[in-house]
Amino acid sequence: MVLVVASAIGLSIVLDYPDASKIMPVAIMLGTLVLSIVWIVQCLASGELFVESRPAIDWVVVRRLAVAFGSLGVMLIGVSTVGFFTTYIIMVPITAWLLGYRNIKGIVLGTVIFCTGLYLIFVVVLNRPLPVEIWMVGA
Amino acid sequence: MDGGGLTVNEHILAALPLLFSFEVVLWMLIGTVVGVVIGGLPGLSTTMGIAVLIPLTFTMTPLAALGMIAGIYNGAMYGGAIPAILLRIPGTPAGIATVFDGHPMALQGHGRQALKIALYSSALGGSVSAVALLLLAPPLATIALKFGSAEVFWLAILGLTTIAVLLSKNPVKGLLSANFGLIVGLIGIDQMTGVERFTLDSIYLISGIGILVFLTGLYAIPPAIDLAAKAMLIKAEDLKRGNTGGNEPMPWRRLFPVWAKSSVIGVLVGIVPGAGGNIASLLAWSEARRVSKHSDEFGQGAPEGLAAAECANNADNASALIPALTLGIPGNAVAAVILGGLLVHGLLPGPALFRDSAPVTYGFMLSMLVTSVMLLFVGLLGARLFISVLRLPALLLAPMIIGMTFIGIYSIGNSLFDVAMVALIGVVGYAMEKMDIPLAPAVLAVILGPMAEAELRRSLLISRGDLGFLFSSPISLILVTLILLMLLTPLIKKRLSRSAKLAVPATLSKQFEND
Repeated sequence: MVLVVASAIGLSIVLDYPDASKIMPVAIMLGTLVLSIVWIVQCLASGELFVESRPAIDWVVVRRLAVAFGSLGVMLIGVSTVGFFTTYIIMVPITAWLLGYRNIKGIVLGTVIFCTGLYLIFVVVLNRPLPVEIWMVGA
Repeated sequence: MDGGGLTVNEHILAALPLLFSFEVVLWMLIGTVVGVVIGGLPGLSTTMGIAVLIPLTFTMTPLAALGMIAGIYNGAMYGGAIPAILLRIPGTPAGIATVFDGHPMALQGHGRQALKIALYSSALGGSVSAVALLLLAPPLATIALKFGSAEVFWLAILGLTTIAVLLSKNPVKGLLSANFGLIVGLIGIDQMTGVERFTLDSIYLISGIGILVFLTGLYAIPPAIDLAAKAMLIKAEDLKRGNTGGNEPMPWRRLFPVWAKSSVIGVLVGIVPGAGGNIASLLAWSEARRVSKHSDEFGQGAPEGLAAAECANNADNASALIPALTLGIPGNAVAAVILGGLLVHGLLPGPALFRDSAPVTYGFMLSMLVTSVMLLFVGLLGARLFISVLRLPALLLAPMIIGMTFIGIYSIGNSLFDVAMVALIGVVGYAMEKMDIPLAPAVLAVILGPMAEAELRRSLLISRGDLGFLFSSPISLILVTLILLMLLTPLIKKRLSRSAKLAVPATLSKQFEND
């Protein structure tokens, strides 16, 4: 249903494009609209939307998913504010721990090897300009 | 002869010095090793491996980059056999048929021999496939070069339809995925009119979303999230099976006929877009069982069964690149990502590739052959190392993959916006996977969409707006017919997979359905 609404809104927007620019966008939006409706019809016909007994929720998996998505967001904010390596040194062990990995030696060793490897590849070998780490600002 | 005036042999000879330069050989070797590791880790796919590592290739020469990609591709297909044999977990989807006989062999104390058979079969299948690519792709490209704008437009539409229909159980979902990719491909300023399309008034979107950002987001982030969610636990004692046996004589006489037939099956299935290595290996396994004098041993540790499955899934590799390189239509998801890799290095997939970038193109095709041979040595020398790779904890790998993806994308465009886009596209990709919406049509659409639009505009310009021009040539009509036929293929595919399923013993298929 979200797709139907989004493609309908999209269609109304692309119809305002100049003629030379709108052939493909209109065709795509119309196609998406039709396909979304067909999908809904398929779901209704198969009874997929009205299944009474759904499988039990595995809360361990839900927790891990929440950690994975949360970690994705925090890492995203981290790399743009404190730098790549600072973020990874903090977030890789925390994420692994929160996901349920309890081998401290493995976590420490893994994080050190990972960060050193990335530093060697991207800074030493490829010489890519990465954002300055927060603890290096002013140094 | 081709458009460049040189024969295929001359092109191959011209590419050899480039291919055997120190840099290219080194990266092919690294790619092969990394490929086996990626394929060996359950949860990581070939597609993901290539997508994550493409940013590393940005500063390499195109042939070194493509050589590494070829190594990853061939290596990962064999790597998938390691967990399939030792743990009964296929490392790649194409490894399903490997489990049937590979795992029973390991349980019977022939783990090392099973790994050896898988290795020889993979190397042989990969080599045959690479030769097929070298023989078939150039003439096909020569024909495709004669296409005009209307034909290229229909070719692009055929490519999209093929992948959208064949890579999904439900063609509607495949086509929706293609539409998603088409929209992403159109984001930015229209080069012809200067109009902003789908930019949401954001200055960051004016130049569009890079193909690499898109495919890395789609193929790297969802497996990392999945890896975290599933938290696969591997027992150390299961890995010891890889060291059992190994002194038994190799049953060469029983294997050669199987290899001959399975490599042909793999090549043929690979050429058909959307069919994939899993279908190739299942068909080859079924065929080997059908003609075998020891058919009752299949599913209980028959070396021929393992050889057939592994040979066919690697024979599918290079041949899947035939439609990808010559027509711009990838045969599977890996080929779609490789097309993205070509674009990153300024190479436009399609027939012109063989005319405009012949040394790199022929070098890439040859690298598929060289890395297949390399795989043999890498696999024999590093057997123990690759088994121990299975000990890597998935829960630690998940944040590392995300971290690697972020830094890789940033290093290409120096843009934190690109990093945010990768995360966003990754979340969308994860949702698509959970809804059984295939990702490959979206990637292909990003590549083919702008091309189709440009050719459509050119056709309309030539014909002064007459849409009939699009249907005026016999080639166009053939392509339109193929598009219509493609829309009917789900029915054919259903029949094929049903017959393959019938050939697999009922007990085995039931066992895997329950898994």
